Amino acid sequence: MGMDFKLTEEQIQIRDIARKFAVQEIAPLAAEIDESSKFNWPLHKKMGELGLIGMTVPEEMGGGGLDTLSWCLVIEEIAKASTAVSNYLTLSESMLNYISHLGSEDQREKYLAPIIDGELVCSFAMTEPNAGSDAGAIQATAKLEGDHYVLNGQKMFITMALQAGLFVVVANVNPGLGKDGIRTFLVPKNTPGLSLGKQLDLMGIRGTEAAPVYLEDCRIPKENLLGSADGFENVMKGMDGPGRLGAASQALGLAEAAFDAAMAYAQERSQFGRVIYTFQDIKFILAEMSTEIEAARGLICKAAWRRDHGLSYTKETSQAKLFAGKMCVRQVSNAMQILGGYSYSKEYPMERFYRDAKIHQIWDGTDQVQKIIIAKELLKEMK
Amino acid sequence: MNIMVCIKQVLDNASVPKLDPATGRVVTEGVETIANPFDLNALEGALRLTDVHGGEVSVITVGNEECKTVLKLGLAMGAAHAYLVKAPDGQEQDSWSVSYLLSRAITSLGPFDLVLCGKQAIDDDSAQVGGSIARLLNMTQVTYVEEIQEVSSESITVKRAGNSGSEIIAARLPALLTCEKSLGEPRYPTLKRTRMANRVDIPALDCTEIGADPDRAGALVKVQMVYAPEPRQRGELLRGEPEEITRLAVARLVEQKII
Repeated sequence: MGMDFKLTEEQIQIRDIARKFAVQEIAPLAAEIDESSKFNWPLHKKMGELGLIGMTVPEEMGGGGLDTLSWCLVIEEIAKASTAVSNYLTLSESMLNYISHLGSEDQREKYLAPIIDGELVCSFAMTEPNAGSDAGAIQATAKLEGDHYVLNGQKMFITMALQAGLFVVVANVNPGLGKDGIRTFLVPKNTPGLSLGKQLDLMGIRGTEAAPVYLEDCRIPKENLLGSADGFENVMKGMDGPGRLGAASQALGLAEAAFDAAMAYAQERSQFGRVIYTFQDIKFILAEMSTEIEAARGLICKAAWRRDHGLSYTKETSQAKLFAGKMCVRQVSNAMQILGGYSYSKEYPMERFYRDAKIHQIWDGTDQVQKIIIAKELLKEMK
Repeated sequence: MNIMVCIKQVLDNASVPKLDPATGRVVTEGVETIANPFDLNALEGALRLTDVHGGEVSVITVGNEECKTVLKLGLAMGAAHAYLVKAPDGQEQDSWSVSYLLSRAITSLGPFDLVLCGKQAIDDDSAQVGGSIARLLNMTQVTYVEEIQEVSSESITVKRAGNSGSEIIAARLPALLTCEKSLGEPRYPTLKRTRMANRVDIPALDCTEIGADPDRAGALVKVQMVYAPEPRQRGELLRGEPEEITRLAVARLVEQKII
């Protein structure tokens, strides 16, 4: 048996727990979270209690010790109910991955448990007004003064910044070195010199409370350096977690939610004396939607499977993220076409789906950045 | 508190049961199963008691290896122990035999301060097993419990749904309660407990191990036939002036000997 597309009994159990939780606890709140644009602490804590945060962190560090595929299945289910809430999980898992891989024993001891329990949100302060995927262009600085690093700089689009108790800050210890000067630091929210800007009024994924983060002579003990002084590779290694696959799974879940709504509507709605599903134009759209959704699922599962089997998964992850993001935007748009006017009213979730979709071609590396990564990996394979 | 909760595995109520005309039985193969929902309300009630008063909750079922699924769910929700009672081979089971097997098992695994069951199973809706276990164990029983109000080391006070309204009943422990939905929305199984439950080796007890007489562990009720009710006929629509259709309607009702 070379290939096996079956999920294990445990993967099914885990997916079903997430599915039930998403349907019963998240879906009824999704519109409100979107409208108020507020982070939902009770949901976040409940997800912590359930064990949905830190699923891929090793058991001996207090995590779930689960495989990447199980985690992707969970993200997909949660994203069907709310993209914003699924992002609580994706971001937390990425940060946990950072700290569990690069953190000292003290840092792990101090921060892993509260994040896993859903008591503490950790945000990733990397992006700047002039640096996103190009981490080498980061202008924030960290100057070593005695036993402290002094951080200065401005961070932009920092997801969940307003609720974070802890930040992983990316800064340069020696701008003259370019990307080789890049390091990561753990900065608690209450550190003097760290301040937050106004919440960004986002088009979609509302409820993630993103804001700019300002660092002005922000002094942190030098023990707060995250990871050894390996420089840029450090940042890259930390980013090599499951986060990007989570982003792809979010896109998949959202596309599925749109498909489910369109499929149900197409069988209910009658025009010209017949159910609209019987029109070839409508059923062809749905057939294509389901095909592309399945293709995205295949790419995600394969990348997750490679990660779980200790194989390289950088190219596959970027392929999954690229395809799933584009697919999501395309298919939510198709679903809107089927629902017609009802998709354009704020009384129904489809318009939220449409606003939530576009981010999947932008965050965690735009489509163009994913292509750069894929092309780079292709070249490596040639050598 | 030491509490035993009895759980039955039933067919998923999301699927429409099909009858096998050859055997005259409901088809169970290939049909999804779930834990009887009222039993999970009972389990939730039990877990809330031990959350507050300490102690352990055990779960038990009668059936085959496949029924371990509901026991694993019980463990994943928070039960400390799970037991499968194997029904003797080739013996059909009914409310009597299941009650007998459970009562023997509860005696051999006990003592328990409380035994909790759902008020009925959603497949046969007979609501007999709880009461029968209590009778066989000579235990106080309170049926249709809506709320547990107070517990001490010797007694329990509950609110039950009576025929003409709610009743508050104090009962001496040990007692058996059959539980309504209002006892508590079942908690979600956590991922960690789910994994732990998958790794637990659930003991499968046979008649000898629980001190049951295999000859008594079979059904007393013989099912002759199971059939689906005739599909309802479509009603007849009478049209016309009110006076005219009233006359017609009355005539029809007289014709059908309804009035």
